[in-house]
Amino acid sequence: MSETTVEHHGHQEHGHHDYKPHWSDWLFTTDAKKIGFIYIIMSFVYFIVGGALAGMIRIELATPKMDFVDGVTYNGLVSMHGTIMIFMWVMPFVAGIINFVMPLQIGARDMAFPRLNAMGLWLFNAGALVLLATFLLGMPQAGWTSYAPLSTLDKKEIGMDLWILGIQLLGVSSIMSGLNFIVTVVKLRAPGMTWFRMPLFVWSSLVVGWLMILAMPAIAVTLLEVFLERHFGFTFFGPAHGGDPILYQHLFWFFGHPEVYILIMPAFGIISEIIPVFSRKPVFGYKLMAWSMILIAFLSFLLWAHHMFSSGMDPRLSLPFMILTMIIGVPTGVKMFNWMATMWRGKLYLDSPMIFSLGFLITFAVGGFGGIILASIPIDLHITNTYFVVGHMHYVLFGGSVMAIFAAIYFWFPKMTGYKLNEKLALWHFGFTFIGSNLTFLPMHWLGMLGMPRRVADYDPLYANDNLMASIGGAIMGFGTLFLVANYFLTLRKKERCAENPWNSKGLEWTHASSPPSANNFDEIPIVTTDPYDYGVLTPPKAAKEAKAHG
Amino acid sequence: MADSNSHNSSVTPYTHLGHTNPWPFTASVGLMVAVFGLLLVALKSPVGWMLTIIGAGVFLIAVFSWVTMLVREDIGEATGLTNPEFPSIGRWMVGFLILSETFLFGALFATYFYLRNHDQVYTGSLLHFYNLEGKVFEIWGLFPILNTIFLVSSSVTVHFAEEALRHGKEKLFQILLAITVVLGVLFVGGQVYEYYNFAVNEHFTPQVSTFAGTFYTLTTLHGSHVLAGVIVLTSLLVGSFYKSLSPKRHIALSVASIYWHFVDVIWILLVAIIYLRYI
Ligand SMILES: [Cu+2]
Repeated sequence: MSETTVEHHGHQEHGHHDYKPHWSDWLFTTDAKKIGFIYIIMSFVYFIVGGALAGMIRIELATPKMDFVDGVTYNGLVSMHGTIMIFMWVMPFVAGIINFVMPLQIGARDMAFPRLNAMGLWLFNAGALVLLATFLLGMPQAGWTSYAPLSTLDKKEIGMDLWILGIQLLGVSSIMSGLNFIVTVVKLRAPGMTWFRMPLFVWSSLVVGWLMILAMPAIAVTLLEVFLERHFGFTFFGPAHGGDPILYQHLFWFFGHPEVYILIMPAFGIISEIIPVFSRKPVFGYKLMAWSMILIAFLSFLLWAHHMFSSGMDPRLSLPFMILTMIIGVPTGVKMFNWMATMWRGKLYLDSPMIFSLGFLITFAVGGFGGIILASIPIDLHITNTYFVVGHMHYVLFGGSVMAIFAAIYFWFPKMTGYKLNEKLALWHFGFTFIGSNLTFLPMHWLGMLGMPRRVADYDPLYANDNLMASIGGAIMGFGTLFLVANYFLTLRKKERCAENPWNSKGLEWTHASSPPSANNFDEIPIVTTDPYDYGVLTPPKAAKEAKAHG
Repeated sequence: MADSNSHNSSVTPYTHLGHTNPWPFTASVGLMVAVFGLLLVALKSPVGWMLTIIGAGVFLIAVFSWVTMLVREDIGEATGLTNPEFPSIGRWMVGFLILSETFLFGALFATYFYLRNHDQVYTGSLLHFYNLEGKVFEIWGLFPILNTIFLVSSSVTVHFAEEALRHGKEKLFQILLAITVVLGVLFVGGQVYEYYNFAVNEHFTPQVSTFAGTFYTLTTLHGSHVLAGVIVLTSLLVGSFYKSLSPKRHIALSVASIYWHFVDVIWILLVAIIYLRYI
């Protein structure tokens, strides 16, 4: 990116002034910003691929009969759609945006371990290619959860092995990223950046780091056991030789539930960054926001069996898991109310990042309510494994994570490139995405209530109308995404430089670094003297108090 | 800017490292090629093994170059600079790594406890301690006892190696570190022999029961951690002959030693839980 750097502060590390970037600068880079950039670009490509798979699923489901693809392909589409969207779109995007933004926000020059960071990036790319190879060699059949014995029985299925090896590589990559996030936040904060002066996005990075290093080992062990059972005759899950398939579900969801929070936590951080900027008010209840993230992350390790109420596990386990799951709604609700309170009597600017944040608040709330409904055992026993779950999960992951990711793209695009995305196209993008996603995912709730099972290619004609509606919604959503892609290309071709701080944000990444930032991020490491989000406050309250105390 | 850099050096590490490094990329490519190679082996393609070996070779060369570079940086020849912040960063890093590894072993121990409980409920047996012929089979014996002695004493020697280094007794430090490495190698050797003895002489293979499978998985995972520790300690030992470590720069050894103690603790848990069934 240094060719677009406005002020060449960073020349001494290159040794000469007219430095032209070489291709190896990108492949061998250890600069968190470049690494973040590659993560983001790759993840967006995979988002398009995963979206295409979703499109094929919706075409198949537009009519009750199985007429577009055969059953094996359909299973493969479902498995790979989930895998790609979770492991190759949201997770790497999160890693990318944290790499780019978090060091800037804490006033650091880079991540704590730049080379480990690069290793994580390329292991991700290696794992992603391994997963993509399933398109050529046969897609895995067992869904993104790969429950045993679905995943252990068909030993000839090469797609399953590819899936296991690919996810293992991505898992190692995530652990490396997680270690880096934590140590960076703990050790590399600029002078004066105390714990409770950290922007909430930094808090979310820290919490995501914790979730990554503690949750990913569980999936590594689980898939190792599946691999050993598939090919070396070990028994862990096969009941014929004393194993237990429920063990797989325990191990998988011990990873799987925190994984959901790996996907949504950065969204919390992003929304908490954007809403104060466009409300011109400090975030409401800052400390509570930070603590609620920590509490959510902690609780997320104690909830896993809420995915297993109907699995046949010891029924005595169900009740505590139900109660804990409902408790996690409390800190999440606190965040919702705090975001709304931040906007309350603020001066709202409805720029594209804010529009998407508002969309997030609405859709994520629906997703959250669905989650509370699913958490209650008597209801869950009836609607688990139906389309209700699919609807809930997409409200949380699309309406939550992806909506926030879009907000982040519009918000930090000027920071990364120096150009601002076109607002009009952004509004079109939002309109199509918002209407399309609700049209797709809302009917799934009552489809599930009526009993339509998930992961099926053909269904009772009773469900035809709502499925057609969902498919039309999917098409609208897909069309909306074209506006974002067009926006990238038009904006980058126009090369119309925007202001250094187009949103008038008070974050360090905007006030102390150029857009795009120089290779070393800052000319001088900033010294932090105020709380984050001092919007509309003439004298920051703490500074005023300190000034008073010093008389 | 140079002034502000040195002024703020405590919060600006790594600016001296430059912004590129070829080894992470190369190592990842090697690993990926090896995975695809193995895949082709499974598909019975003639180029499978060749690809695997090439990929693994590239990976190993990249990792070796990376480690060499780290040692060189410690020696100070590569950069001529040291990073004053690194010691505490390195300790934090290994701390969190250990936490992550705890969850890795935790998941496997959980597997063990779950299956043991499952056995009691469904088959009434405490565990399938049987070999292929159905004879009751005792896994505790001479080799686990020897291995325990090796690993525990290596934890002691690595600790005193660090002490010796801090007090500038360089020869003593090198001798103690060498002993640690030898003990680690003996442990791995003992484990390989134990496997051989179990599988060939006692017909106790991973396939005979859920217990056998869990036993082999856990001990192999642990053994691979010992092996990784041996490699790290060996590279430190080699580096020490080129003065990469000194009383003021012992951090690499401290970090490796923390990790080594952790591996030792896991072994003790393994002995108590799997071998002796105390818990
Ligand atoms: Cu869950």
